[in-house]
Amino acid sequence: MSENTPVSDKVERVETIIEQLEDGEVSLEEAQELREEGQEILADLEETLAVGDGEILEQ
Amino acid sequence: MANADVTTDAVAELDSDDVVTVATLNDEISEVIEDHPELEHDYVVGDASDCRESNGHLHFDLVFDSRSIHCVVFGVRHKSLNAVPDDEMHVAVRGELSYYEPQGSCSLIVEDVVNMGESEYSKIYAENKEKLAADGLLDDEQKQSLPELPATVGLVTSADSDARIDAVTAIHDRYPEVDIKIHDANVQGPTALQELISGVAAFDEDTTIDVIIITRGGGADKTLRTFNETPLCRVLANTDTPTAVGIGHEDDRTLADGVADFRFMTPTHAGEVVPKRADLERERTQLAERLDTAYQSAVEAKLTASETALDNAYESVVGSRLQELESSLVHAADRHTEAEILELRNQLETAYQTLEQEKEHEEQLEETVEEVRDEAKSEAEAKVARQQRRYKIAIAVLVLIVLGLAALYVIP
Repeated sequence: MSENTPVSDKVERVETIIEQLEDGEVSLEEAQELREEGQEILADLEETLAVGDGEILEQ
Repeated sequence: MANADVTTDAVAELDSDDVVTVATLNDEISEVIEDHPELEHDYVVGDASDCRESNGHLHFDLVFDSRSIHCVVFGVRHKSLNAVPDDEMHVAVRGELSYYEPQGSCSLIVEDVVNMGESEYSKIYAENKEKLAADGLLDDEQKQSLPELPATVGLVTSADSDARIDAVTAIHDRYPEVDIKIHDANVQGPTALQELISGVAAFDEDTTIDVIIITRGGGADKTLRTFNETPLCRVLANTDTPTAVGIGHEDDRTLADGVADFRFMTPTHAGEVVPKRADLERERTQLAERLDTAYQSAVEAKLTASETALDNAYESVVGSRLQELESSLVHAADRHTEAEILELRNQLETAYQTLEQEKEHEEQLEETVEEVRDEAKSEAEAKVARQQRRYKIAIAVLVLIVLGLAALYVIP
C-alpha cells in the first residue's frame, strides 16, 4: 500500500486482514505478519487523514 | 428645493439648501406616481418569476429583458384571476402601480393576470438544457466521482457572502484540516458569468485542488439564471477536477447542478464534499481495536490448539506406553503363571511318578513280602512236612518196630 492508496482501499485491506485473523486459519507467524501489516496501514491511514492545516486562502 | 425636515446644521455643513430626508423623497416619488396618469397601463407584459405566497397574498416578479417589477395579488382577488401565474408563464398583468413609501419600492397591485403562453426564459432554459443534453453533458456517465478525502477544496463564490461563510463553516465542521482556496466571484449580475467561469478554470489548472465547489445562497429565480448559461455549464462539465454545485435553496435547480459531478442543496450542505473527520477517526480506532482483538483471538486459538494437540500427544504417548507396559505385564504375568503352572504340573507329575514308583515299589515290596511270606510259608510247610514225614517215618518205624515186636511176641 502506498501513500496514494485510497482510504477506502486501506480500510478494506485492514478489514480483510481482520477477517483472515478471525477465520483462525493462519499460523502464528502469519498472524504476526498480518497484524504488523494492519498496524502499518492504520499508522499510514492516520497520516493520510492529516490532509492539511485547515487554511483558508483567498485567491 | 428647500426642506424644513432637515436641521439647519446639516444644511450648513453640506453647503446646500436642497437637502431632504428619505421620508420627503418617498413622499415626492409617491406624488409623482399619483400625478402621472401616463404611468397607468391596461396591461404590463412579462415573464412571471419567483411566484410565492405570503400571508395569504400571491407575490411574483414580472420580468422582461433583465428588468423586473414586483407584483402582488391580494388574497381577496386570488380566486378571481383569469390565470394563476407560475414561473414558466408569460403573462399580461392588469393592475395599479403603487408606491410603498416605507420601503421606497414600486409594485403592481394586480387585478387580473392573463396567460400569454410559455415564458421567454422558459424557452431559453429549455433550449440550453436541450443543447447540454445533446452533448451528453447531463448524463450520469459523464460525471466523475468526488475524491473520498480532498486535501484542498477550491471554492468559487462571492467572498463577502453568507454562502461563503456557510460553505467554509460546513466544510471545516466536518473536516477541520482541509485547506480551502476561495476565488471571489460575483454570482449574479453582468460580470457573474465571466467571473464564475474564470474561477472554475483557474482552479482546474491548480493541481493542488482536489474538488471545485461553486455555491451561492438563495435568491430570486432570475438572479440564479447565470447558472443556467451554457458557457458556464460546459466549463463545469469539462473540468479535469471533480466539481460540486450548490445553488440557492433546496428546491432551486439549475443546469449547473445538472452538469456538475455532485449537487448539494445549499451552501450549508457544501460540507458533503468532504467526509466527517470524526467518523474516519472513529472507524480507524475501531479497526485498530478489532485488529488487536482478532490477532489476540487468533493467537489464543492457535495456542489453545497447540496446547490441546500437546495434551493429546502426551496422553497418546503415555497411554500407548502404559498400554505397552500393561500388555507386557499381562504377558509377563501370563508367562509367570504358565511357568508356575508348568512347574507345578512338573512337580505334580514328578510327585505322581514318585508316588507311582513308591506305589510300584510298595507293590514290589508287597510282592516280595508275599513271596517271602509264601517262601517262608512254603519252607515252614516244607519243614512241617518234613517234620511230619519224619514223624511219620518215626511213627512208621515205631509201628514197624511195634509190629515187629508184636510179631515177635505174638507169633511164637
